[in-house]
Amino acid sequence: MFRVLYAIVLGLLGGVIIHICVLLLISHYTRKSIWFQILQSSPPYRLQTLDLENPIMKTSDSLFRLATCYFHLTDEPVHITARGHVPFWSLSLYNAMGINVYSINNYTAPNGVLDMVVSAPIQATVFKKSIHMDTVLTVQNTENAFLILRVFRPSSDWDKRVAAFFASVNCKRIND
Amino acid sequence: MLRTVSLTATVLLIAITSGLWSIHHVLTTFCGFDKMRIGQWEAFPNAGTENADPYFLAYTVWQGHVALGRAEGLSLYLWKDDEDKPLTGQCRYRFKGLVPETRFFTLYAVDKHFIPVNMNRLLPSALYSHEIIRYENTEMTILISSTAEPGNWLAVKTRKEYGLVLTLYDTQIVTTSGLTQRIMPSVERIKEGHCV
Repeated sequence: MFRVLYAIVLGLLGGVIIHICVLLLISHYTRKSIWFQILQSSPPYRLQTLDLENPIMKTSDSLFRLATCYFHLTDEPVHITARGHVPFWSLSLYNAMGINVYSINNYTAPNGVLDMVVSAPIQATVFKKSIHMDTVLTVQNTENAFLILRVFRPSSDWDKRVAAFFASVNCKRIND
Repeated sequence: MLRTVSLTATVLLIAITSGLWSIHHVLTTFCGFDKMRIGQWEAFPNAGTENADPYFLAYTVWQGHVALGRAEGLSLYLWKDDEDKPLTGQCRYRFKGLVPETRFFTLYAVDKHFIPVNMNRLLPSALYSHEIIRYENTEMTILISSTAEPGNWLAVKTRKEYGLVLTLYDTQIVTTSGLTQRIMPSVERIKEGHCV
């Protein structure tokens, strides 16, 4: 009897250890992570609009259209721009763990225009004096990052403008 | 010898089974300890941030769900009506009241995997603030059902249980302290037929 209880207690203790280990490791190794999805969807420094069957789109607000771009901040800073008029746009930067490190929308951006430079800390000291004063400079201490650009699409009447807005997006190395 | 082997096997079996079952439960249903409740509504102000607890981080990574940034907005979720009964597509509901201050908001229904329910271009399966008619006292009333309704109507074409997602865009209410003392809209079941 005591042996059975002993086995159960030890087993449950082992279960707790497995639970904690898997929980802490899940973000690193799961194939379903957001970073893996985005890596597989397109090459770096290229905006990729997400179709309606994309897993990220599927769980997002259905009145929005999304696009992503990933980049490596160890290379050079990345310059992100867009032109056009849409009812609302917002952009979030995420590190490779999917943690949101910065966000902006068309009401918080200077003049409502998407014009942003993302830089590693050391690179920022070199580039900050050469960028335009309306360009938003954000410094991120991460090697790899991705952005999700969300554009509000109230109805199908806005499809052309939303498509034009996405087509105007540049997500390039600052010297390209 | 045999006793030792069987004991060890039992311990391993219980450890692996309980550990894997509990982690599966966490990844599919449990959203962590950061949940904030305002009435029947739930919010996760720390979602996607470094302050999110490991359970919520694992849950969102596993589900492929990407949280909004603070300058984007905040999503609030409702799974039960004001009588604490799960929302179901077999009943009609009345969404009534005021929404916290925000530039604009959207409202739509999702299943338990946070996938919008039965999106149909011909039906109002998702609403946004500018298309909602408000009456004299500035409160809004939205009827939520699978069949057409007069006035503001959110079409939810499902027979199963679902949740409502109210997303506030460009809002000041993105922190835990900002969510306290807020009055949220109520969702009451319209009592008729078997929905009592």
